Amino acid sequence: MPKGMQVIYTQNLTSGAASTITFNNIPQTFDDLLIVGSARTTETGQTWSQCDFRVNGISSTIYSKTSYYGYNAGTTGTDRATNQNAVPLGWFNAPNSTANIFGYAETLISNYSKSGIFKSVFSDAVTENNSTGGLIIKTSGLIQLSSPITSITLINNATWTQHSSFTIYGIAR
Amino acid sequence: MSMYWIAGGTTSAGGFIDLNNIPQTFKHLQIRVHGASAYTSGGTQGYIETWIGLNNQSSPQPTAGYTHRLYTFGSTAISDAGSQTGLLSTTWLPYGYSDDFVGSYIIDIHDYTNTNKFKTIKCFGGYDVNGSGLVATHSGYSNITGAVDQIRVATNSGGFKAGAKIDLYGLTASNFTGA
Repeated sequence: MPKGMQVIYTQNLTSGAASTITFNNIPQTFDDLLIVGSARTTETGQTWSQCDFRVNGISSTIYSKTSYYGYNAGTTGTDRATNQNAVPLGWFNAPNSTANIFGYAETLISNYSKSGIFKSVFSDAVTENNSTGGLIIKTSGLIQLSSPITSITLINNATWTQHSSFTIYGIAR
Repeated sequence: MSMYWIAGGTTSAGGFIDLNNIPQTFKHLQIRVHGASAYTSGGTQGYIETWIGLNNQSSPQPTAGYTHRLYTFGSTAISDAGSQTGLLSTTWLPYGYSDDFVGSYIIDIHDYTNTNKFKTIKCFGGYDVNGSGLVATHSGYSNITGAVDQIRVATNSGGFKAGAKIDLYGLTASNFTGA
């Protein structure tokens, strides 16, 4: 496999909303995966939504995370969670944010195709707004899975809205 | 490969770069900048804000926007935000130092051709001059719904120092969904 970044899959929700987005049959010919998303959710009462992903259909508590963030023009903080049933994909705009603004996230999964080692995750996400209510958050995560990742399911607490879009790239080192 | 160089160049002293006629065939855009500010102020050293303008925007313009920032100058983490008209704030570059000291930043614009979305940008970058510096993430929104076909990369005062390198890349989408 030539070194570099190669697009694998793209899902664009052009016709309507979806509760989950799943990428199956992920090729095992790369070293890392990069998930790039421009999305919005329908989570009622929220300005932004925490959105996660699971791998290989696993919902047991093999996931954990550490984050740091800034939001609402003045608040900074950190967060850690262990033994979770999913790992952060990123945070995306929700109904209480300015309409037609879609949040942005890039999520790197290192060594996804390797056996015998756990998988590291790094997420870089922003949600914008026509007000001070915006979020910038960086997350490192862990997936305690020793086998290769062959599928990824993107989830949130409601549904992904129409025009949400995710692309998966493979990176060969 | 899926990340292609589209256009770029090197600035003259006090200059900026306009990226025109951007192809509409990619999914996302990425701009990479490496350089310093040409600003001078009585021999002092410091930092100057950088900007981008989408689709021929230049200050002042009535187009609405907003910027949110998370950054540090080395002691505490700072979060702030502010409205924008026209240009969107990206990061800061050093001024007043020797030519060896430069900053770098990467600007991402997702789904830039999608006419159902306002445009969101993210910039990550900074600089270090061995005693001071900063690292910052800026996010910005512009109420442009049209496809982005032109971008100006500039600084707040004085322009880029001669030799600043600015490059535009396009990332492709796939025809396969994997669903």
